[in-house]
Amino acid sequence: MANMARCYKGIPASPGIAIAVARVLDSCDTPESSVLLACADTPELEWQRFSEALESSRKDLESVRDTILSELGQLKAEIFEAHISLLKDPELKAEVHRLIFDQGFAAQLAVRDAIAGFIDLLSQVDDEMFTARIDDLRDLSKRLTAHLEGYAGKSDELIGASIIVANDLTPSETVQLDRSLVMGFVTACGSAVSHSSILARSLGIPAIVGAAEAVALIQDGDLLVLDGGTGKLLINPQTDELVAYQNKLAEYKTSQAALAEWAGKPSLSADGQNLELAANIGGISDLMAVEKYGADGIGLFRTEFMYMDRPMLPDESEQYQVYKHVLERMNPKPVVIRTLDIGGDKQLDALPMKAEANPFLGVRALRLCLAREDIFRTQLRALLRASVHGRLRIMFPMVAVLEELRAAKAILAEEKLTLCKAGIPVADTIEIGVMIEIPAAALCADILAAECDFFSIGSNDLTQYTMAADRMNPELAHLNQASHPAVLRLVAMAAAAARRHGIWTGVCGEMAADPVCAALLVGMGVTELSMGAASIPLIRKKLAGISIETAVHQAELAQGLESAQAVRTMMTGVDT
Amino acid sequence: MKSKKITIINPTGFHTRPARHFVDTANDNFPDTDVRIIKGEKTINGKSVIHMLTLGVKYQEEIELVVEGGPEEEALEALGRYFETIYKE
Repeated sequence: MANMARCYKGIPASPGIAIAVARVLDSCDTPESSVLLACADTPELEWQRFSEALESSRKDLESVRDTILSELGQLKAEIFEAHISLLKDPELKAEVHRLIFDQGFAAQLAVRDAIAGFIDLLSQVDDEMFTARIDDLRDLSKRLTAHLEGYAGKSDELIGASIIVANDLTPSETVQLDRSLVMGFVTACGSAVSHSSILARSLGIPAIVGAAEAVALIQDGDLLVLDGGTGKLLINPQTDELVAYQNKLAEYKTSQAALAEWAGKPSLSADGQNLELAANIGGISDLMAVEKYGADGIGLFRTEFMYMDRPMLPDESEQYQVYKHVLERMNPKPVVIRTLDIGGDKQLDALPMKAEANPFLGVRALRLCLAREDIFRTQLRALLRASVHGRLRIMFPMVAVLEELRAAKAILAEEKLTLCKAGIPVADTIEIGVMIEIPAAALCADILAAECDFFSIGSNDLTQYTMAADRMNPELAHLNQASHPAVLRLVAMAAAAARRHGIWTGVCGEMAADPVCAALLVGMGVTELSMGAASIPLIRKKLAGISIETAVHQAELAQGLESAQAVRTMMTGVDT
Repeated sequence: MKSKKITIINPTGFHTRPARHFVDTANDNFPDTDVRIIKGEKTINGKSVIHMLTLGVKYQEEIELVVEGGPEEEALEALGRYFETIYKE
């Protein structure tokens, strides 16, 4: 029966609003007891059930693979190719056969024990590359069991628009969701960077993850309101709340539709100056959105996601494949790839780091890379090798002083020389950039500008370090003011230094996606703005209405104001 | 029965993707040939991805590829090549 109205908060995983009936898919995780208690029929019948489950699983996987192949490319499809190979494995079949015929097991139990045995064997192999395949086997066990228990493909049975509620969704389950009926999904597990969240963003399905409390309470048929942008979830909302969200949804749809035409337009100011509106990405799966919203390039590829949530660091060949794919797909548009930015709020399973009293002021990003040259060199080699496949720009994060830039460039040059000597081709020109996110770098930007090809201002960290206010601390949220004149002056200083040295300046923080700030940034001489791809049409439309002359004037005025609030008031006052 | 000894020259060993391609070729192109791989004291079924993975073949290790039944000569040639390649990607 329906619950009382309740409001919950989860992790916002994919923006958008969905209002629909809950479809609880928790049963996708087979209860252990049901497998253990399964009654065995005759071995012949159990074997036949197993064979049918194999066949159905193969069909599922082939259709998932084809979907992924056409939508997300070869590299993502590899996971599913691997699953299909496992299904064909004669040793797996032999073991299940043995358990069914010699032990009299039901098919479910035979599958469970056979796969568990192989997982044991794989765990003993002294090579993390292979033990990583254990997840594939687990996924396969789950899929086969689902077919044997007869509830696989439940999402196909959706009878109307629904919001999927589940403990967790595997990437294959996410892709299989029927997009004409699935309005959104909520899961108990996961993070904003887990694979299903990334896929949800690429597919444009609003989603909330990490909402364990809510998922436990939601029942099939409850009415849900899901706001994937804020992570807010309402279960059986009051009428007034429902109406409010229905209006918000309608508004959102209208504004998206109105903006859609801007996705295909060139990025120009009102007086015709060329601007570059680029996208921030965390991996290949974000490229669909990049293409959909018409980005002029990639302004920030956060490579750290490739390193996260895995027992082993990605090797050179894996990284090369990813960089190559992105560069080829974007070519001739430019791609800024940021070298590993880890530490602070981002930690790696594969690289345990010492606890620090102030991680945001600690050994992170380039500081870590210079301390762990092996990791840094592997990434640089992969980047250099990939450079021939498109227009690569390499950016170093967390540069405070010139010596760091020089050290990073020296290592890059060494690796380039080694590759050239080995006869491996490397692009002739690769632009090298510095991320301006430490006030010291902004203040001495003229010194850095003399030795690099571009700046990209990381406004989130620049704001945090300028205000000396931890941006993860909710009690200091009021100091997180990117439009404060203090931050604006640093940005202006860096952009002016860049221009004097004939290099360009970009911005890759949230500031770039803020319509008020975007205009100010252009006024300060920033020519590239990089943001989540979905924001591009809005910012493009906004900038098309502003001439450079006006923007320069506003930017000068803004720097002299007393507060962030004053800046906003001036900007919105001028605009409306 | 035919066999040959091969030393792995790929710097990252014999990892998942080539292992899968090897197994797929063994199953699809040589259905009547029994394929075994011997490393040290271990012998495994070369038509099983899971077995291949448990073998954990690394750089510079030596393995023996054994084929029996069907077109042995061709199988040895075609399958052996997977172990003798440097995978650039």
